[in-house]
Amino acid sequence: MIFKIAFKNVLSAGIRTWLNTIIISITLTAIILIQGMNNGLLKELMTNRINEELGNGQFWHMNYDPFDPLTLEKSHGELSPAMAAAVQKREAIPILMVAGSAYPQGRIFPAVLKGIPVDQQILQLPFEQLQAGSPPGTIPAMIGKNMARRTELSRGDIITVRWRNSQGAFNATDLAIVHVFNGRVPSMDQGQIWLPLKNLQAMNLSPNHATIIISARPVDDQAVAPEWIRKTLDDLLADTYQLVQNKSVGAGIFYLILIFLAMIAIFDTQALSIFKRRREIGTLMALGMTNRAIVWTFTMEGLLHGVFATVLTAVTGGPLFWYFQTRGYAIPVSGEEYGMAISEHLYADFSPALILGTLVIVMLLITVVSYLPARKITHLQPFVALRGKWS
Amino acid sequence: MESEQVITVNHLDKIYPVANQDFFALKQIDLAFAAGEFAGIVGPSGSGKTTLLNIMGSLDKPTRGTVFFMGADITRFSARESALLRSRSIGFIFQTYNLLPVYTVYENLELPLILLGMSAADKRRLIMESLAWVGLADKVNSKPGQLSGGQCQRVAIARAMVKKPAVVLADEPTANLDSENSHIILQTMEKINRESGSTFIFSTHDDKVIGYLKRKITLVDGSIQQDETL
Repeated sequence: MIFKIAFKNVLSAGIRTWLNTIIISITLTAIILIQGMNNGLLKELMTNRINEELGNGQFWHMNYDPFDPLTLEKSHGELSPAMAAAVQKREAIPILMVAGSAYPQGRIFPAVLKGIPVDQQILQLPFEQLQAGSPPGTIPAMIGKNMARRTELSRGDIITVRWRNSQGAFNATDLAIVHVFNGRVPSMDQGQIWLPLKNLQAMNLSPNHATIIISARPVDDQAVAPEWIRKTLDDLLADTYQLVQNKSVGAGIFYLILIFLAMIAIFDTQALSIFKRRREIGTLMALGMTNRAIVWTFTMEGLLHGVFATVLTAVTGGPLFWYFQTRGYAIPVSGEEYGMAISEHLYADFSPALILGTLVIVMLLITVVSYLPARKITHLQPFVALRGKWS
Repeated sequence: MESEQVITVNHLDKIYPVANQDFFALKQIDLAFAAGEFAGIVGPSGSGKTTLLNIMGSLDKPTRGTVFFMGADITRFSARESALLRSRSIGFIFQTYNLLPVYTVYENLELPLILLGMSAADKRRLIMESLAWVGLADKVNSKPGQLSGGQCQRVAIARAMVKKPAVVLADEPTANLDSENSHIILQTMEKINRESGSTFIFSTHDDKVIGYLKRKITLVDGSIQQDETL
């Protein structure tokens, strides 16, 4: 009965119903879309970093500090037998890092020289290109496209690099750029020069040494050798989680503003409706409807705006969600410029939990906001309502 | 004795505080209405007619005194019990019709029956029977906005009668109608009173209505001045 009465009243309210429905629908669409884009961003960042940088976890030399290149000189050690066996089975790859300087055409750039097995199969970057031949007296090297742009280097160029080896002696050699790769993870590109591991170990006078070990398997249950620290995927992705969480805070404020506006619209409509329809309320009371039933009728009317908005969102927002999930959003400026591991398109990720969760929260809020003005009816005397007055 | 009457009002006062003083809207009212009566409470504006009608209809509470409705003291009823009484036993007719504008005639009449939890078949039968009484069976799908004032009031009568209440309380039912429509309405109510046996109690100061009454209770300044059978 309550539903039938509420449904009829909402339909007959015309433009007021449409306005409320549209504003709630816009709110729902915006929240779901922005959250979907955030989820898509997190997914993309995680996927790219796992594929191109992190593997399934890492072991770091105990002195390694990724934010301090000056400590790299002391941040490497010999692989434990278990690590060496994993490398042998291609379940792990050792990476050696040496701080150095590059001198392209007489200019100088600080760079981290990184050695990686050329036949590795864990990271999805084309390190096999390091197997290409290089001119006599040079060592093959590859750089990312951002590093190439900054240093104005391209494939075929020869640069001199200078470094200090593990014995403390400075040395220099020429590197031939055999490939410029197109990666998505800035930390694998900016300021990095990639060399075959064996060459870098020889240059650094540290055979069988590595700075970090990238594992193909989760490291949580793997034994940790002395001098090495286990870094799980969650440890390594902590900054990514933090980045997305920070973005979510900003988005949350936006949601709050949208929800607040939608709720104000509902509250206003309810308050106006109850004020304008007080004689109708009195009539319903005279016919024998209890105050509580009338309150729920009005609450149901508010809630029906949410139901209509859900349908409208499905019709108008559905194609939009589909477009952003399948075609993606073309990012106007490369994400790498901001130090983010994302490609040129960002694909939204809409999970059922996201959509249902958003709907449930918005519906609950609508119910509360619809109920608040309507509960005034519980204190209304029938004869007062019939006179069209409140007190 | 009270159970033999449909409504019995005993020593009823209704007092409103006005500027730190008590204003007696109703003063020591004693009345009884038997089943099938066609009675009217008449008097000038502000004499307390509507207040008395509201109290007898359980829409308002007295300050003092009791009102027995079919043996039950409704002044002690909770809001929920009052609502139940109104839905089962009392039909209201208002000066301004108070039809719900978004509903059709059929749906306006259906509402009190929905509250009684009736089956669809019973609802339809009672609605059509009630509309036939007021001669508006052909307007079943019209909305109030499509009807004249007289037709709206006839729909309101049909709505009040559709659940076959023990008592119909009509507050100035002809105040918004012209002479011709007033007579049609009054003749309709008189006929229904005869056929259904429901008690009709009017509040009015309209001479046309008074002409149809079988009992006239004159109220002046909240007190009964005269109670006469016509």
